[in-house]
Amino acid sequence: PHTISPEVMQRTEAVPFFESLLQGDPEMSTAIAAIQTLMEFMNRNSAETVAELTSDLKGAMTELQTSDQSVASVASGCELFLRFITLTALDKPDFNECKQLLVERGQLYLQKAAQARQKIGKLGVPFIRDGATILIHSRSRVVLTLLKEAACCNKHCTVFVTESLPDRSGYIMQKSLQEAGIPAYVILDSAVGYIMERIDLVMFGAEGVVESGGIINKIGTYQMAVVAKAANKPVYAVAESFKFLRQYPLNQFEAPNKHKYTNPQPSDFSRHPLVDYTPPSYISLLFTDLAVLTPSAVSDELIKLYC
Amino acid sequence: MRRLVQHGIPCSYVLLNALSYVMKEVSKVFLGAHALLANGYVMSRVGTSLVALVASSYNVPVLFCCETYKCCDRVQTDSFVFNELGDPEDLASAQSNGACSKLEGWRDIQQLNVLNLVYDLTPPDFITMVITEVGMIPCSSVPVVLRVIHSV
Repeated sequence: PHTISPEVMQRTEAVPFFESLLQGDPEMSTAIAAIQTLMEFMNRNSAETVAELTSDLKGAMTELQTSDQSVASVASGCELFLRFITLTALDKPDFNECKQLLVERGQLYLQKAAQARQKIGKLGVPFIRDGATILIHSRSRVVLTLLKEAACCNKHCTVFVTESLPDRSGYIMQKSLQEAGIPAYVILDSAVGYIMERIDLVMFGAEGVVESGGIINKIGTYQMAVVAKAANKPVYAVAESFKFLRQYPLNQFEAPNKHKYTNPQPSDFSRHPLVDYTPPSYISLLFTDLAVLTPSAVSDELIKLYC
Repeated sequence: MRRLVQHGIPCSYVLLNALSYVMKEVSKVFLGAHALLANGYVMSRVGTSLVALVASSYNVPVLFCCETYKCCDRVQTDSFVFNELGDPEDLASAQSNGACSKLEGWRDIQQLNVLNLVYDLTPPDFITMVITEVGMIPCSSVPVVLRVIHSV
């Protein structure tokens, strides 16, 4: 049973609450923080009907997508959360009973989502052989969980991380890996082609998984996937199921601007995009908490999630 | 093309022979389909797979517009194993000026046959996306659509 906080949460308080959650726990996934914000918003909301509550939640979702944190996974996480909690019989005459039901379903969704990373770790470990050399891109907490799980299963891997400009988050990833006892080396983004012959497998996280089975991820991912395909190395994308998006980009320029740039105005070439789109033909498998999927199975899962 | 022009859309008419010449000006290709097969192949009017092939070699996205009732659970991998024959006279008498067609007397020549195939098959490698009334799907998702439709 939830406690009803005395003051109603306004739409504008959503982003500060969201950002304080992320600062409090740097390991938390941005989508989970967004869902927790929505749960808090729902608890402290003063709507009297389900329709009003849903519309308030949608307003809060729009607010959350204006923050610059990983817009793709926030968007998909919120959308799927809303779908999940409303996908039940809400025909009780008393609104408070309905709201209670929504909150319970929300807690359930949050629990499942929070365990997603661990599930992925267990599913992905059989694909990493002992002594493998792995190339990863930038900083991804899901990939980190997977590699730590492999280390726990006594698989001694060597990891190469791309430096990943502009924010150089490759160095942070290297530090986390070294703390877990995994030897990790940072390479230049431009050295991906050079190192590829020594690599056994390529792995990256995803900010969003699109309907075609392709992924949206930090800029440089597509380049790495193309080089890996040319060198015949397997490419694995690791993503939780709440990152599945209802979008279908046809090429790089069709990927939505709001994911690519912090200010979603149409841009000329003076601004650098933050993410790129990797088509499904370059991805061998996707490790998700639902199952290990081929890119063509993503559409099947999306249809199941959304219908 | 007449209908497009009536709606005010600027159009250019080209022969299939000119495809590789115009393809670099093209940003997207829209094609229709007669059937979506369960293995991701698309059966359509002959010439469609040619357009899709040239477009994919120039990295131009190929989009098929097709209703879901055209999804069928047959599987086919080439255009020859199952097709329809059209009237060979359509090919033999086709001419652009008033002169006689070169193929006019083809029936009299024993070694000559005129083959007018109606359909051809486009492989899924050339198809970027299929647009149906229920949404945009990759062509490998046709069995999923069939499953959803038959379960309802």
